[in-house]
Amino acid sequence: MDFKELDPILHSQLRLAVVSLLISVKEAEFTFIKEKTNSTAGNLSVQVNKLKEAGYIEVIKQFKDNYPQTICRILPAGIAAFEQYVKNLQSYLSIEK
Amino acid sequence: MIEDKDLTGAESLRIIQQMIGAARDEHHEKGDGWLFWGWLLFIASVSSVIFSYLSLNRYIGYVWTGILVIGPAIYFIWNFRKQKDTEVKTYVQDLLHKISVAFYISLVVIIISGYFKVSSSFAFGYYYMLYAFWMYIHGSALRFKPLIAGAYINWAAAILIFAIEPFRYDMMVSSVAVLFGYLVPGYMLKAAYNKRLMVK
Repeated sequence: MDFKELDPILHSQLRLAVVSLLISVKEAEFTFIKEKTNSTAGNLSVQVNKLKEAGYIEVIKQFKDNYPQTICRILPAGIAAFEQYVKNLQSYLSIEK
Repeated sequence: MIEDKDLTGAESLRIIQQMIGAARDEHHEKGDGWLFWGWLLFIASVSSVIFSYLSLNRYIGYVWTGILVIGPAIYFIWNFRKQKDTEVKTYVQDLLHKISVAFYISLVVIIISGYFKVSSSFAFGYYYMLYAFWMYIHGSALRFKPLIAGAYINWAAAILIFAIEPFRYDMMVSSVAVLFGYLVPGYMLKAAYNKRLMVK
Protein backbone atom coordinates (compact mmCIF):
# COMPACT_ATOMS: atom_id res chain seq x y z
CA MET A 1 0.00 0.00 0.00
CA ASP A 2 1.23 3.52 -0.83
CA PHE A 3 2.17 5.67 2.08
CA LYS A 4 1.24 9.29 1.58
CA GLU A 5 2.86 11.94 3.72
CA LEU A 6 0.62 13.46 6.37
CA ASP A 7 -0.26 17.14 5.90
CA PRO A 8 2.26 19.05 8.08
CA ILE A 9 -0.31 21.77 8.81
CA LEU A 10 -2.64 19.22 10.42
CA HIS A 11 0.01 16.90 11.82
CA SER A 12 0.46 18.87 15.02
CA GLN A 13 -1.44 18.18 18.24
CA LEU A 14 -3.15 21.50 18.74
CA ARG A 15 -3.92 22.26 15.09
CA LEU A 16 -5.34 18.77 14.60
CA ALA A 17 -7.46 19.17 17.76
CA VAL A 18 -8.81 22.54 16.53
CA VAL A 19 -9.72 21.17 13.10
CA SER A 20 -11.27 17.97 14.59
CA LEU A 21 -13.40 20.15 16.85
CA LEU A 22 -14.45 22.54 14.09
CA ILE A 23 -15.30 19.73 11.68
CA SER A 24 -18.06 18.61 14.06
CA VAL A 25 -19.68 22.00 14.66
CA LYS A 26 -20.94 24.84 12.50
CA GLU A 27 -18.83 27.45 14.30
CA ALA A 28 -17.18 27.92 17.67
CA GLU A 29 -15.87 30.76 19.79
CA PHE A 30 -12.17 30.97 20.57
CA THR A 31 -12.93 30.55 24.30
CA PHE A 32 -14.85 27.32 23.60
CA ILE A 33 -11.93 25.89 21.56
CA LYS A 34 -9.49 26.96 24.28
CA GLU A 35 -11.56 25.16 26.93
CA LYS A 36 -12.05 21.96 24.90
CA THR A 37 -8.42 21.70 23.77
CA ASN A 38 -7.18 22.72 27.21
CA SER A 39 -4.63 25.04 25.62
CA THR A 40 -3.27 28.48 26.46
CA ALA A 41 -4.67 31.53 24.67
CA GLY A 42 -1.25 32.47 23.27
CA ASN A 43 -0.44 29.06 21.81
CA LEU A 44 -3.96 28.60 20.47
CA SER A 45 -3.88 32.01 18.83
CA VAL A 46 -0.64 31.14 16.98
CA GLN A 47 -2.01 27.78 15.77
CA VAL A 48 -5.36 29.27 14.74
CA ASN A 49 -3.47 31.86 12.66
CA LYS A 50 -1.49 29.09 10.93
CA LEU A 51 -4.72 27.30 10.03
CA LYS A 52 -6.18 30.57 8.80
CA GLU A 53 -3.11 31.31 6.64
CA ALA A 54 -3.41 27.80 5.14
CA GLY A 55 -7.00 28.63 4.16
CA TYR A 56 -8.37 25.82 6.36
CA ILE A 57 -10.43 27.96 8.71
CA GLU A 58 -12.09 31.33 8.77
CA VAL A 59 -11.64 33.62 11.77
CA ILE A 60 -14.29 36.25 12.41
CA LYS A 61 -13.54 39.00 14.90
CA GLN A 62 -16.50 40.96 16.19
CA PHE A 63 -17.93 42.56 19.32
CA LYS A 64 -20.51 40.99 21.64
CA ASP A 65 -21.87 43.21 24.42
CA ASN A 66 -18.87 45.54 24.01
CA TYR A 67 -16.39 42.68 24.38
CA PRO A 68 -14.25 41.33 21.53
CA GLN A 69 -15.36 37.92 20.29
CA THR A 70 -13.46 35.58 17.96
CA ILE A 71 -15.42 32.97 16.04
CA CYS A 72 -13.77 30.17 14.08
CA ARG A 73 -15.37 28.21 11.28
CA ILE A 74 -13.92 25.47 9.08
CA LEU A 75 -13.69 26.16 5.33
CA PRO A 76 -14.16 23.69 2.43
CA ALA A 77 -10.34 23.51 1.98
CA GLY A 78 -10.06 22.56 5.68
CA ILE A 79 -12.71 19.84 5.34
CA ALA A 80 -10.94 18.42 2.25
CA ALA A 81 -7.55 18.55 4.02
CA PHE A 82 -8.98 16.83 7.11
CA GLU A 83 -10.59 14.06 5.04
CA GLN A 84 -7.32 13.53 3.16
CA TYR A 85 -5.40 13.51 6.45
CA VAL A 86 -7.69 10.80 7.86
CA LYS A 87 -7.33 8.72 4.68
CA ASN A 88 -3.53 9.04 4.77
CA LEU A 89 -3.54 8.26 8.47
CA GLN A 90 -5.50 5.08 7.82
CA SER A 91 -3.03 3.92 5.18
CA TYR A 92 -0.13 4.91 7.48
CA LEU A 93 -1.61 2.90 10.34
CA SER A 94 -2.18 -0.16 8.15
CA ILE A 95 1.49 -0.01 7.04
CA GLU A 96 2.55 0.36 10.71
CA LYS A 97 0.66 -2.88 11.54
CA MET B 1 -2.93 20.16 28.09
CA ILE B 2 -2.51 19.76 24.34
CA GLU B 3 0.93 20.86 23.22
CA ASP B 4 2.26 21.61 19.80
CA LYS B 5 4.50 18.62 19.14
CA ASP B 6 4.92 15.86 16.56
CA LEU B 7 2.44 13.03 16.70
CA THR B 8 2.37 9.30 16.16
CA GLY B 9 -0.48 7.85 14.08
CA ALA B 10 -2.20 6.49 17.18
CA GLU B 11 -1.97 9.86 18.96
CA SER B 12 -3.53 11.57 15.93
CA LEU B 13 -6.44 9.15 15.97
CA ARG B 14 -6.94 9.65 19.71
CA ILE B 15 -7.08 13.45 19.33
CA ILE B 16 -9.56 13.23 16.46
CA GLN B 17 -11.84 10.89 18.44
CA GLN B 18 -11.54 12.98 21.61
CA MET B 19 -12.38 16.29 19.90
CA ILE B 20 -15.26 14.89 17.82
CA GLY B 21 -16.65 13.34 21.03
CA ALA B 22 -16.33 16.68 22.87
CA ALA B 23 -18.24 18.50 20.12
CA ARG B 24 -20.92 15.80 19.90
CA ASP B 25 -21.68 16.16 23.62
CA GLU B 26 -22.13 19.89 23.27
CA HIS B 27 -25.77 19.91 22.27
CA HIS B 28 -27.89 19.79 25.41
CA GLU B 29 -30.75 21.91 26.70
CA LYS B 30 -32.02 23.26 29.99
CA GLY B 31 -35.64 22.47 29.17
CA ASP B 32 -36.71 26.07 29.87
CA GLY B 33 -38.54 26.35 26.53
CA TRP B 34 -40.68 23.29 27.30
CA LEU B 35 -41.49 24.65 30.76
CA PHE B 36 -42.33 28.12 29.44
CA TRP B 37 -44.75 26.74 26.81
CA GLY B 38 -45.95 24.00 29.13
CA TRP B 39 -47.04 26.43 31.84
CA LEU B 40 -48.62 28.84 29.34
CA LEU B 41 -50.63 26.06 27.68
CA PHE B 42 -51.51 24.44 30.99
CA ILE B 43 -52.85 27.70 32.43
CA ALA B 44 -54.78 28.39 29.20
CA SER B 45 -56.29 24.88 29.10
CA VAL B 46 -57.28 24.81 32.79
CA SER B 47 -58.73 28.33 32.66
CA SER B 48 -60.70 27.34 29.52
CA VAL B 49 -62.28 24.44 31.45
CA ILE B 50 -63.11 26.75 34.38
CA PHE B 51 -64.54 29.50 32.14
CA SER B 52 -66.55 26.90 30.28
CA TYR B 53 -68.17 25.63 33.54
CA LEU B 54 -68.83 29.21 34.65
CA SER B 55 -70.49 29.99 31.28
CA LEU B 56 -67.87 32.67 30.62
CA ASN B 57 -67.00 31.31 27.19
CA ARG B 58 -66.06 34.69 25.69
CA TYR B 59 -63.00 34.83 27.99
CA ILE B 60 -61.65 31.57 26.56
CA GLY B 61 -60.92 33.31 23.25
CA TYR B 62 -59.13 36.16 25.07
CA VAL B 63 -56.93 33.73 27.02
CA TRP B 64 -55.83 31.79 23.92
CA THR B 65 -55.36 34.85 21.74
CA GLY B 66 -53.32 36.48 24.52
CA ILE B 67 -51.13 33.43 24.92
CA LEU B 68 -50.64 32.92 21.19
CA VAL B 69 -49.62 36.56 20.73
CA ILE B 70 -47.58 37.22 23.88
CA GLY B 71 -46.04 33.73 24.14
CA PRO B 72 -44.18 33.65 20.78
CA ALA B 73 -43.06 37.29 21.23
CA ILE B 74 -41.45 36.58 24.62
CA TYR B 75 -40.08 33.27 23.39
CA PHE B 76 -38.43 34.75 20.28
CA ILE B 77 -36.78 37.60 22.24
CA TRP B 78 -35.57 35.15 24.87
CA ASN B 79 -34.27 32.70 22.24
CA PHE B 80 -32.50 35.49 20.37
CA ARG B 81 -30.67 36.54 23.56
CA LYS B 82 -29.83 32.91 24.36
CA GLN B 83 -28.39 32.33 20.87
CA LYS B 84 -26.18 35.39 21.28
CA ASP B 85 -24.75 33.87 24.47
CA THR B 86 -23.83 30.45 23.05
CA GLU B 87 -20.16 29.75 22.52
CA VAL B 88 -20.69 27.10 19.87
CA LYS B 89 -23.21 26.41 17.15
CA THR B 90 -23.68 22.77 16.25
CA TYR B 91 -25.28 21.39 13.09
CA VAL B 92 -27.99 19.80 15.28
CA GLN B 93 -28.82 23.22 16.79
CA ASP B 94 -28.93 24.74 13.34
CA LEU B 95 -31.28 22.06 12.02
CA LEU B 96 -33.53 22.25 15.10
CA HIS B 97 -33.68 26.02 14.72
CA LYS B 98 -34.85 25.65 11.10
CA ILE B 99 -37.42 23.03 12.14
CA SER B 100 -38.68 25.35 14.90
CA VAL B 101 -39.19 28.13 12.33
CA ALA B 102 -41.19 25.68 10.16
CA PHE B 103 -43.10 24.62 13.29
CA TYR B 104 -44.12 28.19 14.18
CA ILE B 105 -45.14 28.97 10.59
CA SER B 106 -47.30 25.80 10.53
CA LEU B 107 -48.77 26.82 13.90
CA VAL B 108 -49.74 30.23 12.52
CA VAL B 109 -51.36 28.51 9.51
CA ILE B 110 -53.45 26.34 11.87
CA ILE B 111 -54.42 29.39 13.94
CA ILE B 112 -55.49 31.24 10.79
CA SER B 113 -57.45 28.17 9.60
CA GLY B 114 -59.40 28.36 12.88
CA TYR B 115 -60.68 31.80 11.86
CA PHE B 116 -62.00 30.45 8.54
CA LYS B 117 -63.29 26.93 8.09
CA VAL B 118 -61.85 24.66 10.77
CA SER B 119 -63.72 24.43 14.09
CA SER B 120 -61.68 25.45 17.15
CA SER B 121 -61.94 21.90 18.45
CA PHE B 122 -60.35 20.55 15.27
CA ALA B 123 -57.74 23.31 15.28
CA PHE B 124 -56.62 22.13 18.76
CA GLY B 125 -56.30 18.57 17.44
CA TYR B 126 -53.96 19.87 14.74
CA TYR B 127 -51.96 21.89 17.32
CA TYR B 128 -51.29 18.77 19.35
CA MET B 129 -50.44 16.75 16.26
CA LEU B 130 -47.90 19.40 15.29
CA TYR B 131 -46.50 19.66 18.84
CA ALA B 132 -46.07 15.88 18.88
CA PHE B 133 -44.20 16.00 15.57
CA TRP B 134 -41.88 18.72 16.88
CA MET B 135 -41.30 16.91 20.20
CA TYR B 136 -40.52 13.63 18.46
CA ILE B 137 -37.84 15.22 16.29
CA HIS B 138 -36.44 17.23 19.18
CA GLY B 139 -36.39 14.25 21.54
CA SER B 140 -34.70 12.11 18.90
CA ALA B 141 -32.06 14.77 18.21
CA LEU B 142 -31.31 15.09 21.93
CA ARG B 143 -31.63 11.32 22.44
CA PHE B 144 -33.96 12.14 25.34
CA LYS B 145 -36.68 9.52 25.73
CA PRO B 146 -39.12 11.49 27.96
CA LEU B 147 -39.57 14.00 25.12
CA ILE B 148 -40.28 11.15 22.69
CA ALA B 149 -42.81 9.74 25.20
CA GLY B 150 -44.30 13.27 25.43
CA ALA B 151 -44.73 13.21 21.64
CA TYR B 152 -46.80 9.99 21.86
CA ILE B 153 -48.93 11.55 24.62
CA ASN B 154 -49.59 14.57 22.40
CA TRP B 155 -50.48 12.38 19.41
CA ALA B 156 -52.94 10.48 21.61
CA ALA B 157 -54.34 13.82 22.83
CA ALA B 158 -54.80 14.95 19.21
CA ILE B 159 -56.83 11.82 18.40
CA LEU B 160 -58.99 12.31 21.52
CA ILE B 161 -59.57 15.98 20.70
CA PHE B 162 -60.65 15.03 17.16
CA ALA B 163 -62.94 12.32 18.56
CA ILE B 164 -64.70 13.96 21.50
CA GLU B 165 -67.01 16.88 22.18
CA PRO B 166 -67.86 19.33 23.72
CA PHE B 167 -64.97 21.83 23.76
CA ARG B 168 -64.57 21.72 27.57
CA TYR B 169 -63.60 18.01 27.32
CA ASP B 170 -61.06 18.91 24.67
CA MET B 171 -59.57 21.39 27.12
CA MET B 172 -59.46 18.72 29.84
CA VAL B 173 -57.56 16.45 27.46
CA SER B 174 -55.35 19.41 26.60
CA SER B 175 -54.55 20.06 30.30
CA VAL B 176 -53.59 16.43 30.90
CA ALA B 177 -51.55 16.26 27.66
CA VAL B 178 -49.65 19.42 28.55
CA LEU B 179 -49.01 18.23 32.09
CA PHE B 180 -47.62 14.83 31.11
CA GLY B 181 -46.48 15.60 27.58
CA TYR B 182 -44.77 18.95 28.21
CA LEU B 183 -44.20 19.80 31.84
CA VAL B 184 -43.02 16.41 33.08
CA PRO B 185 -40.49 15.93 30.20
CA GLY B 186 -39.49 19.60 30.58
CA TYR B 187 -38.67 19.17 34.28
CA MET B 188 -36.87 15.89 33.53
CA LEU B 189 -34.78 17.66 30.87
CA LYS B 190 -33.96 20.42 33.37
CA ALA B 191 -32.97 17.85 36.01
CA ALA B 192 -30.74 16.02 33.48
CA TYR B 193 -29.10 19.34 32.54
CA ASN B 194 -28.45 20.27 36.20
CA LYS B 195 -27.07 16.80 36.91
CA ARG B 196 -24.74 17.16 33.93
CA LEU B 197 -23.48 20.52 35.26
CA MET B 198 -22.80 18.96 38.66
CA VAL B 199 -20.81 16.13 37.07
CA LYS B 200 -18.74 18.68 35.10
